Amino acid sequence: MTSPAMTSPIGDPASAARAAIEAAMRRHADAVARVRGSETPPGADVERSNGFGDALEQTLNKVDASVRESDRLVDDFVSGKVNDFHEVALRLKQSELSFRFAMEVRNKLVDAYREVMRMSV
Amino acid sequence: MDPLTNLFSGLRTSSSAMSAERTRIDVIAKNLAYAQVTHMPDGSGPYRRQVVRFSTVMKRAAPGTKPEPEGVKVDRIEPDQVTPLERVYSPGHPDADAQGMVTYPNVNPTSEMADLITAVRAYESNANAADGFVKMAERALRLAQ
Repeated sequence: MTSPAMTSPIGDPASAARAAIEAAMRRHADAVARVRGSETPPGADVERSNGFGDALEQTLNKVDASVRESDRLVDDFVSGKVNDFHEVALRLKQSELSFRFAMEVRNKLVDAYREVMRMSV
Repeated sequence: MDPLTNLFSGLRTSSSAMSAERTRIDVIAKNLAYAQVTHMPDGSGPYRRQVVRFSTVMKRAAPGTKPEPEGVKVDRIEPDQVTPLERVYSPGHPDADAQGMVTYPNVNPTSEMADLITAVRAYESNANAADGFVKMAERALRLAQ
């Protein structure tokens, strides 16, 4: 991974997924620490969750754009504008992979949320 | 640059190479098909075999960085002017000259077939590379599950 992608956690779906999972874990840990009466400042947590929400939204937008593009590509293919089979196949695979990465992030988020909600306070 | 574009650059490199090889197969098919054409409609004489030249596609780089190649494209398709045209004695042919010689295209079916096999194999190896990329991404995805 190149350095620019490292500086922004939303660099690409893979690092975004990593960042999302890390953030979800951090929130989880923070929640546990708060319940246990540790000195986690509430402000820091709120800000972090804002940044994470933005990052997630941006990544989802990109995945959405990729899926839309593959839809358009299929339209182009059936209307004869694209003449390479593999081009369509590989683009479809690309958007499928992006989507599955995004789904995995979403699953982790929901898991973390459930984990927190299940906790008896 | 779009981050998704960056992540899938390997896939796009393979895809561009496959497109280039496909063009090459088109040209070889044309050469084989026109191997006996002694009269082009524009009056330029027999067909001349065509050759493709590949070049790299440069990635649009961020300001201040050096652009890197990312993929293959067909730079140009040119007629082969070096390989001599074939001369065959065939007096009854409509294109025969005063000595009864007919000029045939400079297409050598054997070497065209060899090129065809190379192009098909190159297409396959790029398809395998793309397949490997997808397999790696899917394997990485399993880590998160």
